[in-house]
Amino acid sequence: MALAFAAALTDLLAARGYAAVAASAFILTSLLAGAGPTTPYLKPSGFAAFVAGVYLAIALYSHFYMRGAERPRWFWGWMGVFFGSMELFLLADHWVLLLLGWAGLDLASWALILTYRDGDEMGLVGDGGRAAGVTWLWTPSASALRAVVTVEVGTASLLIALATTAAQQGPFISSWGPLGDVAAALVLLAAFAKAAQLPFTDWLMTAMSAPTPVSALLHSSTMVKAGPILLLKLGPVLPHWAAEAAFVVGAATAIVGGLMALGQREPKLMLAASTASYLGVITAVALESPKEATWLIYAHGFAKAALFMAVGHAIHINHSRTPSSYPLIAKVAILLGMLMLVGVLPLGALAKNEAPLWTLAVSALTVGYLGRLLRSPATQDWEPMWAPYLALLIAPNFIYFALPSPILFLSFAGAALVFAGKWEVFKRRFYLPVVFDRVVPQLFRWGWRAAATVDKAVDKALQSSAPLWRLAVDAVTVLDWAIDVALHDGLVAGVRRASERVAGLRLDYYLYMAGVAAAFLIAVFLALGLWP
Amino acid sequence: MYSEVFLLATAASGAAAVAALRLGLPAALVSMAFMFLFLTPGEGSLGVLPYVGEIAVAMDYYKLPFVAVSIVLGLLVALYSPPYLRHLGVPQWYYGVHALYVLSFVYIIVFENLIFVFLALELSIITSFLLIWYFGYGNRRFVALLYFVWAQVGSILFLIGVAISGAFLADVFRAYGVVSLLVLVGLLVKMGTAGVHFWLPYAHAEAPTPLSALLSPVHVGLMAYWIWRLKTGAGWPLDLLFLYGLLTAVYGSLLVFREVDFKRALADSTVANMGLLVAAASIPGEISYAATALLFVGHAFAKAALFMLAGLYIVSLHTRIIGEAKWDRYILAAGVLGFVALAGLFGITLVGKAYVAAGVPPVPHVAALAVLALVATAVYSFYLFNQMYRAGEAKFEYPAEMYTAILAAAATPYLLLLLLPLWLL
Repeated sequence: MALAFAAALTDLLAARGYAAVAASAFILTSLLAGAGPTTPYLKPSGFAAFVAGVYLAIALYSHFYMRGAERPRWFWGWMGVFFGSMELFLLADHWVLLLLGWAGLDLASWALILTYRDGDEMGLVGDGGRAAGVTWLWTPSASALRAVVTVEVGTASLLIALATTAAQQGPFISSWGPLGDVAAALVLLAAFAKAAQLPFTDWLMTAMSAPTPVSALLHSSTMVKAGPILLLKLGPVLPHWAAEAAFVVGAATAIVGGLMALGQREPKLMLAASTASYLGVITAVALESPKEATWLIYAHGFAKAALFMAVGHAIHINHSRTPSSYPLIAKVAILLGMLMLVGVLPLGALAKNEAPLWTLAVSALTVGYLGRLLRSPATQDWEPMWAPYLALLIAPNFIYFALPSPILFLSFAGAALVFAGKWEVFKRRFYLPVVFDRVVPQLFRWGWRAAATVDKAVDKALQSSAPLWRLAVDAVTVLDWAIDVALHDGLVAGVRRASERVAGLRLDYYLYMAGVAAAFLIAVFLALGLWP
Repeated sequence: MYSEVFLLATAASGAAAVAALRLGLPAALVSMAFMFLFLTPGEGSLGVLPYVGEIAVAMDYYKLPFVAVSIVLGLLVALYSPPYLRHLGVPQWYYGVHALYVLSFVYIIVFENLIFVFLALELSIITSFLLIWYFGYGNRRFVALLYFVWAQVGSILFLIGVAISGAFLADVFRAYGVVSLLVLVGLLVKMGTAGVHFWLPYAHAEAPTPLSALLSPVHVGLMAYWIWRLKTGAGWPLDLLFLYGLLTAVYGSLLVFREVDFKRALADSTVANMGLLVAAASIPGEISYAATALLFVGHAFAKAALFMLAGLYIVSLHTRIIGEAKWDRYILAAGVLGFVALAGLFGITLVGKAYVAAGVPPVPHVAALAVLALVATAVYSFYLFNQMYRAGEAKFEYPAEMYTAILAAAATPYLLLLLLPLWLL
């Protein structure tokens, strides 16, 4: 772990990717030699070596692809974080470490999408057309924001699921018992958002703003693969209904993604839609057939990394994201990648022989869209950037071996799709961008405007209450004055006047008057006979 | 023993702060350096007063992050300040008041007697009020008065609640019904949570930026410590308080989107983060402390870095509009570190958010609200970063000491993540 992140820092400072190559080669060798974690916080994972191998190939490839590119520090630094985060996620058994790995993937993918500047044509996604009120063109900054906002829904969900479960069952995932329904639903949501399953698919498409090596890594072994791998990790503790939910969402995404891929003109967008499709297959089977899902992750990972690098080779020599021709060696790789995906090559056969029958439809679509790339004109370019991607397609087939089931060859019926027209609805990705670029932003806009309006109104009311305070102060002042006058002027003056009047009278006069009054009263009493 | 340390630290830092009124920055730095003495663990009594009781003071494991962050950020902001204050034409005594303001943070946490906590709150209000009154932006005197009145309302409600409860020491604090609610509402007013937040965007945005970089990240957040500390004896409805915290997080996050002014956007984001802190402090059980402390620390450094960044733009580009905040690769690096930490996507804030999430009950609608709160508090950060990023790249001059302080604050949530296992274990 430390080596991976140290390599990222080294590459950031050196603006070169040598540390990335050295670190991934060392980690791969160590893992293949049987090295494993010695702390309870981590647990061995078979995927760790797979990720290291793919990263090594992509790092080597990037030395050619990114030569002369701007922001090499940014690119290499974040690539290292991407790799390190995925390894951390794979090996983590402590919930906080798993979360750090998961979030590190979000962070690195967001940053890597920003590698190209907004004004750089290579960083754009889309044809610039306008449909359904959306301009079909996304800059890297727009793509990065879409990506991070979408995956953050999953990260927040996972945060709650892991934290609440850890609070009840302890920090080590391997010791967890069954999850509650709410936690399970949140885990599914997290996996779906990360793996770009419906309805979260579109962030993956616009993530193509990133340079091709990033796409190769993101689509093959890191980031999106974290979704189904999360399901594999937590599968034993998820309730039964979770498998059904994963199947429905995964199968729907598999078909929809395949159809989207058929409609794309940009090859990277085609491969992105293909990734969503294959992740759909993996998600659909992850909880019911974990072993099947594992082989699919390997096969798809090797194939997709190679396919992206092959397409990138064409982009690199054409200096265009819609290359008009492909190097011959890239076309060979695309063919091998296709054969791996549909299950004809040995590793693919291992993955597909036991796959459900409906996945043949996905394979047929694969033949259809990748066949279109194969129809493109070939050129001669032998820059050695082909070596890493060809190695990824060939080497695994010597490690794993199986003969394909004959039924898999039915996939080639999809070749007919190579010559089919491009449907607008597929090209427009079933208009999913409308949800992300119009509906959700509009809802959000209404939300913040409502909050801002209420806030402003209350604020204004509070401020306009200042005159009321002044009125209250004035009223109190008048009342205070009146009481003051009454007490200090009125009463005092009255007492003083009475006192002066009393002081002005003679005492003998009072005595004389009192005597007369007393005599008068006695006379009255006597006259009336009231005197006892 | 701690009472002697307390008195020594108070005498030294207080004297240096007073000296800083005339001598400026060096004395203020000395004053804040002396404040590290307060971090010596221990507890003590400064004496007993009639009616008020024992003047207890203490420093422990739980108080350490709050006090340490206050002092470190006080120092960082002081080091950042000279070019900014030159830009404003501010006299030397600013630094003395700044040091006293930081000292008030220390007192707010170190005092165990709640009447003295109130006095510390008063010191913090008076010092910050003065700085806004004299050196703020816009209608600064109106804003200063607005801040003063609201802050006093909060402090006095707290005082009345504590006074009626009759239990002035935090350890034995017990309050019921309206009395306990007075204490809570007082603390919430001072935090600026939804419904009692109307003063906050004005005060935090219009304060001189070095003050904003302490008001928003530290001052309001310290109240979360007292909510966490007093909740056991107060009998507050913690489940409702948790929901209120989440709602505040959503509400504050939505408010950020109305702003074009960098500082006001950050001030609104403080409302959102105070919501998360209230939720963290109201979780029952041990995990509540970790959630509160980690969120406080992560938010404090990230928010301070971003306020200081806003100040750098004011000095260098003479703008507060985030859409005009151009960047070079160094500023971009600081921006990425700051906004990502503020979002809680990584760094120590992520772990803080995770601990808050541990308090979510297994009820679908609360879980949905929690997801919304966690997403909303992350999304606005990336939205703000995107605004800044789209302003474009440019070469311009800015003072190195300002940038160094920004980078140090922005990087700290990530460095602390490396140290987190040591602290938690």
